[in-house]
Amino acid sequence: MGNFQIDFGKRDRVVGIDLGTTNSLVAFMDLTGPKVIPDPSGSNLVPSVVAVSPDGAIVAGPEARRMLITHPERTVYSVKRLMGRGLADVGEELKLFPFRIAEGSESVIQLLLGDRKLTPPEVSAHVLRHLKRNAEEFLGEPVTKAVITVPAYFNDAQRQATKDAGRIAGLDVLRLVNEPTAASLAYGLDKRKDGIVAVYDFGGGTFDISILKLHEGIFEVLATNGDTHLGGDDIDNLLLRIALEDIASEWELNAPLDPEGVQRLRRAVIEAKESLSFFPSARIELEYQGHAYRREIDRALLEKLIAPIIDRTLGPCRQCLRDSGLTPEQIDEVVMVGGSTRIPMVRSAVEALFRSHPHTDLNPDEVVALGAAVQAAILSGEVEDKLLLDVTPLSLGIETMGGVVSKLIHRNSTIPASATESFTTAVDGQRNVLIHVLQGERELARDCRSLARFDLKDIDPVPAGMARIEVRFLIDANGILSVTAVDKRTGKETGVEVKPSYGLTDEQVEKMILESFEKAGEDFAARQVLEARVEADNILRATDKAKQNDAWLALSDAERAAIDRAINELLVVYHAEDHRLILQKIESLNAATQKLAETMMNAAVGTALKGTHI
Amino acid sequence: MAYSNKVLDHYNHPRNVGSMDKSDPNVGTGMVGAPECGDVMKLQVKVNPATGIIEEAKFKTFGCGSAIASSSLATEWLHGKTVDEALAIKNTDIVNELSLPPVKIHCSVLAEDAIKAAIADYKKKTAQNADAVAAN
Amino acid sequence: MSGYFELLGLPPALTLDAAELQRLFYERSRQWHPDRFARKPEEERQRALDLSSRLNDAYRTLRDPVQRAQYVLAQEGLDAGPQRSADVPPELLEEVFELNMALEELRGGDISVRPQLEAARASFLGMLAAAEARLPELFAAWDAARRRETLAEIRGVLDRRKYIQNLVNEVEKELSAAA
Repeated sequence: MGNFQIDFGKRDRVVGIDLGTTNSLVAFMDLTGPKVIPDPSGSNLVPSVVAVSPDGAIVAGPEARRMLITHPERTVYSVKRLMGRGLADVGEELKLFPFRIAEGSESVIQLLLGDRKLTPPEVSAHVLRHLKRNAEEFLGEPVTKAVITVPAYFNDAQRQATKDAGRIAGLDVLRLVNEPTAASLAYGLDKRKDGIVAVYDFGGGTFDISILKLHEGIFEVLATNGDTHLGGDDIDNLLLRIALEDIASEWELNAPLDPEGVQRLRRAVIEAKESLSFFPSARIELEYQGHAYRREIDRALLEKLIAPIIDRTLGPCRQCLRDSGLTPEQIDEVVMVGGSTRIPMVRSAVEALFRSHPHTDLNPDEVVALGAAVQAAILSGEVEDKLLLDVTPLSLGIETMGGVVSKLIHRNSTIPASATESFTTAVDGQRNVLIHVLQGERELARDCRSLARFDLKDIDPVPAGMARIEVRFLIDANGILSVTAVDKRTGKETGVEVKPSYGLTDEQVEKMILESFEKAGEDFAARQVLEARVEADNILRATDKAKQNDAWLALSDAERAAIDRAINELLVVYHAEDHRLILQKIESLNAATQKLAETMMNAAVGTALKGTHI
Repeated sequence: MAYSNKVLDHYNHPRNVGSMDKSDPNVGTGMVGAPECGDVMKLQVKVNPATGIIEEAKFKTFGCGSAIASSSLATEWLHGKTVDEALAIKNTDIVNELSLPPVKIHCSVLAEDAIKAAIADYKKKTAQNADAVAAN
Repeated sequence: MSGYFELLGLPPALTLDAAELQRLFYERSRQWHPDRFARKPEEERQRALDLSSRLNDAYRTLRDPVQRAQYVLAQEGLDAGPQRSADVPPELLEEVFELNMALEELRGGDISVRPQLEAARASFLGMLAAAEARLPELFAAWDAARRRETLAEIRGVLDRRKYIQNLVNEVEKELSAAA
């Protein structure tokens, strides 16, 4: 507790969520610090897997992971890699993932699961909803506000897609926080060590490196870099491809292994990969449809295979060092985050680059969620002595002359960050100006990521070049861009119509929220049940206490029997899923105990009177 | 921003890139720079002394695409103009022709300055020559 | 809209103490960062967003000596509108033009020009350092007497620096392409 300044006033609960490629977690802050909330079976990790069962119901988490084997064509995993992306971005990738894509996926991918079409934000929303329910059950109260983590190197569209997922799941997303930054917050919590820290975050599907300065509770990010398409998944796919080739030749199959077989094999490959972090050799084994496959793989072979993947993390690390203006010797500690950092070769590569032994004391699966819970507590006001100052990972610019990008906000600028630029018209009486906004470091627009086209509308008609539209680009603390424009001649705010290049429009998100209304209704019902149970707990506790009072003995036998009956009836319905039934029985118990309460009250008043008089 | 094909063409295929002999008495050379972006532009004109008409114009620019397009357009316009007509070219003409965004207007200013500098250099040379002739 | 120095509570001087600047930036961030306003009404949150984005812009500008000097030049009206080339010494233009021509000769060449490119980079970096080394003295001179000639001199150094920086960028582009 030591480091926190706790305010015991009543606040809205804000949870922290790590929405991971492979697994997701939800955490909260209690009086002793951040804690991961386990699911009803006691597991902290919820698989980021969603499936549509044959009866049409959508399931997420462990149940969906089981369906990955039994119904691979109805199940989707690693959807984080598809967030905020269009078909052209992920074509290569999809060859390795067994997903089916619907027509019209150019700007938002639509996955076909059974007969349902789901976008990545909707899929993620199901994972979020699952986490939300776990938290509500654990905390015994409704959960509506959250901080969600994203890879630091996520661009605007990927961030927006994550925020949309939260909204669809019925969560008010108070902040998107970068994963390595969140990890540093959990790391710096009990360490209270000022200095320069690098966070190397190598997860299931994404890689981030961030360098921070920790100073008296301020966590200032100096630079960040990464690759949103690099993670443990890539290692799995590498091994999977080898095993599939083996099987094709050993089993002499006429057709490729079916999806169920591939998913079983994938599971076997992951198990082998994981055990190679602890043992010098492991076995990939699959028995399927009367065939058996068995292959011994040792750590030396694994390392030979994955060396190019690990190498790809080192370029961003070097760039991040350059951008922060630091040498490896100036980094006090490297914090390892993400499941893939369990691989010994990853640790030795990091040690070689930063010339210091990496810090591996934190649970690499949980540290991001724990940090998100700390950030949640900062936002709710429970933690007042800490503050994150994060940066935008990519430069923001506008397209000019000949497709060249003119940069307005440079990468690694502390957010919120803003820039103002003037625009004019090229033709007499022109009413609109179109601005193309991009993100990235390259000089040409075609090499950068198109964010959106902003149409400045209703410009006062004047001769060419006379108009002066001042446009303000603002990147908020979530790393998300907004644009406002003022016509300087009239002083009026100019309408800005946004056409996002990738991702859902506001209307589409609204529609999805409505579509999930039924689900939301279910959530609401669950919340009402939880609240009714809390109320039942209160009255049962009070009644129990009253039974110790003299007033209990003053009641008639019939009155006492009526109270006991009402208690029993409430206990019977307590675990029912109908809040009205619970409330009804609470009401009955209330009525039955009215005389008891009155008697106790009178006795108390009587005692008080006796105390004051005489 | 939408650009005409003509503009993109100037950017992608700049005209009249090169240089002429600086010591030629009929060649005027202008060397200018835009400090805020670090561009340098050299623009040269070759004038027919009998007619006063610019017969050839060349440029070499180290800088952004807008600076290159501005100087390319300028050399094209200079061809066949008299020295006085050339001095009438304004940066706003270039801005309009290329629909340069405000952030790039200084590129057109640079081109106008380069024209003026080149012609000033030519005039200085002819005046010196005239002096030299007179002195003889 | 208040200026960058005012936003950070500093006297408007070109010479400044980096540690003090950081201290003031952190202190104000604690007050103004949007995280501190998450539970406040929309209007206050918007104000915090606005204020902290300007604070961040101010810190980013002032902590870098070159950006700081550019900011002060602009404040003093020495940067308003496009500068004419008349402000640049002709010798500097000639020099930069020749350096660019030489670099262009090397461009697109095979691996054999690498040593020459590296030599060019070292020379450019040396010129850059030499230009920057003049700044602290000029900064102190401006702070002491506030004479416009000093600002003009600073601008001269910044212009030169900018030209050389472009050359450094070009040579680095070539080197990474040749790698």
